[in-house]
Amino acid sequence: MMFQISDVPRLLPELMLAVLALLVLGSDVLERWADDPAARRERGRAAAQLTGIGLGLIWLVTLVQGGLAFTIAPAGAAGPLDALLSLGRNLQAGGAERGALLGAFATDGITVMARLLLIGAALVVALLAGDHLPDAHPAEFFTLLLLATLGMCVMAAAQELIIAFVALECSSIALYVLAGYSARQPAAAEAGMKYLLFGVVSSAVLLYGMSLAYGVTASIGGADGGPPRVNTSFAAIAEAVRVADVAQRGAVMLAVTLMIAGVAYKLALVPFHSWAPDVYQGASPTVAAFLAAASKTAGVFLLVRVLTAAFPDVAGAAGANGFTGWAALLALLALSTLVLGNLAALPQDVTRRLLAYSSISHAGFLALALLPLGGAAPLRDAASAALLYYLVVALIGSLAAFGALAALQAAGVADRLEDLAGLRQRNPLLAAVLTIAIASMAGLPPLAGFTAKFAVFVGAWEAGAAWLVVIALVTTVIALAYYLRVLRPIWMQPADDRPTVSVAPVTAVTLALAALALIALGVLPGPLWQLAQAAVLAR
Amino acid sequence: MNQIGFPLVSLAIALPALGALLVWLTPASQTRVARGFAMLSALGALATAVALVARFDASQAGYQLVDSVAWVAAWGLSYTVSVDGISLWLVVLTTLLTPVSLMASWNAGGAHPRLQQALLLLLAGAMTGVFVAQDMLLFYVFFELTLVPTALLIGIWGGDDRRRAAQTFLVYTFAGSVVMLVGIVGLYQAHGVQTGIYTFDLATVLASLQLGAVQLPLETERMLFAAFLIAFAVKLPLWPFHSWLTTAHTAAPSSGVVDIAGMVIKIGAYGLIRFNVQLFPQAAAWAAPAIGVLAVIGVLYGGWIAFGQRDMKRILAFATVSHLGLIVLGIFALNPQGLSGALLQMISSGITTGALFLIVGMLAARRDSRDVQHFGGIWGQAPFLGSIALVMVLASIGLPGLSGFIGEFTIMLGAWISPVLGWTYVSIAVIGVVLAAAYLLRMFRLVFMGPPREAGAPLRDANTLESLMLGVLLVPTLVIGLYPNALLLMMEPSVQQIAQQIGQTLASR
Amino acid sequence: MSMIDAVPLSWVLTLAAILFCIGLFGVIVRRSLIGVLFGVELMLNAVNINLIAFWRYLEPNLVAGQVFALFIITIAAAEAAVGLAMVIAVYRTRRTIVADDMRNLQG
Repeated sequence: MMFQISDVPRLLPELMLAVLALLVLGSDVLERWADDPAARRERGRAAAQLTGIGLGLIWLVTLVQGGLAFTIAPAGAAGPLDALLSLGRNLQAGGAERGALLGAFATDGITVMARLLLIGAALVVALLAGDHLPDAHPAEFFTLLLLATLGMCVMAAAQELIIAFVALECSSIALYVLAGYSARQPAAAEAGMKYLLFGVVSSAVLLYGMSLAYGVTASIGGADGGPPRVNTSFAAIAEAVRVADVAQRGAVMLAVTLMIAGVAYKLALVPFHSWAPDVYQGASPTVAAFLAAASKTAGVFLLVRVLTAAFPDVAGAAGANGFTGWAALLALLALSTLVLGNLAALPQDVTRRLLAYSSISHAGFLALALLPLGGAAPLRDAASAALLYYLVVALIGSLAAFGALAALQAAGVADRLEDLAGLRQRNPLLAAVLTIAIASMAGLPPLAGFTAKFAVFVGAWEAGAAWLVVIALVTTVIALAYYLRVLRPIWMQPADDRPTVSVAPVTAVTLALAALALIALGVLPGPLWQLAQAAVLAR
Repeated sequence: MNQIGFPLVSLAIALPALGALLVWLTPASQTRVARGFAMLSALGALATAVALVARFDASQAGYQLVDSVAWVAAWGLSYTVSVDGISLWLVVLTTLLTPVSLMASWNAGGAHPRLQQALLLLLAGAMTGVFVAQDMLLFYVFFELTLVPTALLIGIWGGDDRRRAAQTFLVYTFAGSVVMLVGIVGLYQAHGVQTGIYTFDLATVLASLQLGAVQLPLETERMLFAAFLIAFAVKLPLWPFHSWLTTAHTAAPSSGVVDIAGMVIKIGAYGLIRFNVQLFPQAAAWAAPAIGVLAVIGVLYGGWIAFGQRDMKRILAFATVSHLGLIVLGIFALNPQGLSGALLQMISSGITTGALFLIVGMLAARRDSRDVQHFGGIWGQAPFLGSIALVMVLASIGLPGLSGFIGEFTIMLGAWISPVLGWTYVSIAVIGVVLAAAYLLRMFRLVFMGPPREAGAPLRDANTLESLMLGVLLVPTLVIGLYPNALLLMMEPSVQQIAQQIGQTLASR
Repeated sequence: MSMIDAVPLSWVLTLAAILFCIGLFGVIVRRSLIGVLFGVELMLNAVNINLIAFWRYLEPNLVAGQVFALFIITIAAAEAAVGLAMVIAVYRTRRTIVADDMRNLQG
């Protein structure tokens, strides 16, 4: 594996993230370090602004590079701008067929979508965090945020085991620290600790699966002549799986199972979910938003890469055509997640725990959306587009919901359900945002959550998992019951003498935009659907 | 665009929604402006509905005045709205009840008047959308859209038990509608696999089913039928799914009740005709006897329970259950008589029950009680309320010359001559009609007749606003009763067409 | 006689599997946070044994397995560093490193 100069444009957003992370950390040194609150706020604001501007820039670069904003015409007559234009052209040439790093890093439409989503989520979190800064060194907070985003972006594009693992750890380790960031609060320290323990155990399980996959590939190997193969690359694994005999198939299935189990913790799929409620409740709410939105999305992308690139031949089915392969595994995970996640959410009294369980149950939908990815081409592509669509919507929804909770916490509102009473009068904007986000999560039309769920249902139904679709629909009714427990105090209880809630302008605008996006994507799902389809087909 | 080059049907949906937005944007201090916007948009929608009736070609079956725009072409999803003989009068009913419910909300007062009016208008828009949507998913979207305003109306302005009632209502109907979504996806998928055309367009799907381009296996057809049936049975509600209705009706504010009684539950009956009967005639014929039994049980059960109640709202709520049983009986007679009778009865009971709920609301506001025992002999004090109540009670129990009679009679006739039901159903359901006479007249007698209660203070008669509301509802009661053909003529071709298709399908079985 | 002839691959793999299970067992039953981290180290080393064995027995002239193991060693060190730092943070606020005592969060 070699780094070529032509890889630079293909890896540009990731490289920029790395540079930005170092820049944020480094520029902090130039600030005034003092213990008084004013100086600390100054440092925090500087770091937040630099992060926000940098992430916005990187997001735009990704947009241009993906050819989504505008396409630069092929080389024409030499003009004064030609040097600039050819720079842009080189940028957009990022999606060459082999991908960067000798094929270990895919630069296809899915990567572009993943970057847009993950960097966008980091941007929103940075904007939200700017207003209520962590009490410790703020620049480190944003550096860790950027490093986690970097790891996630690489994770979503990995085509090779080592890169996948390193990227996963890059994001995980940063997130462990972020989860326990406000170390002076016992709850945060505990949250970080729990997250770390679950994380390291899961990565050990994932690694064991990876080592088995490597072993199977190496044993089939047979690199007679030709260039030496990299037996940790997904392509090599897929080839080995194709020719594997029965015994080796057994090892392959064990490897797939362990790898899915290892990544399932990122998605908080039942039974790998028990960290999620504690961490979402204990960590600072902005970090919880990042975990619920970005970390989960990245995990899904990693699963997509691993399952479709490395193990398409053991996809199996989970319906009328049999119950085999990883599709069956995912079906079981989806089943347990949907049922247990939703039931466990019912008795919760702490808003963030309740939303944590709802986020868990959404992971069940993601597993449902992953099911058909092992199928034949037209169905698979539609299902992949549905998955992307769902990811976008779920990401915006969790950012809006957890972001609103973060704003509430910053305003000093406690985190039990009854503390939301009369929010309609205390802050109409937050009430509206929270309501739209939750109604979208509940799948009420015409919000985006409905269209997303619908697309996933159709995909899973066509893949033969109609039984699971029916169960998923039943669980949405359960879900409505606990979502109502959140909405009821907001709308139907008087505020009494609870104080009004004030929100910083940046937060207000960000949240309002997220809520508007949920409405817009629900009323007009067409453009995003086309985008998702194009991303899937641009392999 | 449609044949008149103007999106008239869409206007009927958009006007109330626009009104809701304007009301929402009006400053809180400008009560009169907000009321003006609300009433103007409601009357605009009513005028649109009247224009729809005027432009409607009564000689034609099928969808007219179609507005169609592709929504998500990749999914075969489109925004298609239109009216036919079945939906036309339901749209008129909806737009007619909206101004009345607005006036009721002014009359009742209550907190947050802007929000209340905005929700009522939103509900009206969504309801109209349900009746005119010709795309299955669009129908589902409007169907769900009606839930939220209804639940909020109950939950914010309702009576003692409002929060639980709102939640019960929302969860019940959402559960039902989710099952319908399964049906829609199943139908969409079956249609897509068999014809290669993935579409939610109702007309296309219907044509494919009728022409045999899509052959549903027997079990599949029955399962899809059941999926839609559950959704609409809960929405109606058909016995034994009725428990949300009585809670919701009892807790709902007067203005909201007019909507729920008059319109929201009509969605269920409409959906049964539009989806269950029209799309799956074979399964409908197969299931008709069983559903007929449920309907008859509903008629008797509602009547029986209503007879024992003292709370006037509960009496009316159970009376609604009883009426709906009759409507379902008419629908599953699967012949033109039954269908048009059911449609007429839907409209008639929407008006009469709505008016009775309004009167009960007014009485309850005056004496702070809905218990019949707290009233008595108030005819002398409130003759206008009393006489309107009498007309509505008589219309509701099916006195010839008033609106209820035609509907009930045609339903009975249809069920009697229907090959899938028969005279036994009718002869038992008749007991329910007798019961209706008993409990409604009992309520009327206890409240308005007899010696005046000494405990109660003198009771004010209807004020101008109240008289206006009740007057608006009185007119159609008389018109339908005396000249039902005005409505029947427009329904005729569509109803005949459906019945004919059912006949063909059943004959070819 | 080389090692490869003396010890079949399956023995090494069995050793790794046993080690992995011991580690997992430790993770599940140990109440002390440090103990849990020890268990994870055992699991990671089992993975390393797997990788090295596969590399040495199956494709000794390529490098992927070896490189993978090196990466794991490095990252395991980073994980342990963060983990121990967090143990200290928890200890400072709670005066305990027993997992059962962490009851601050309900659930």
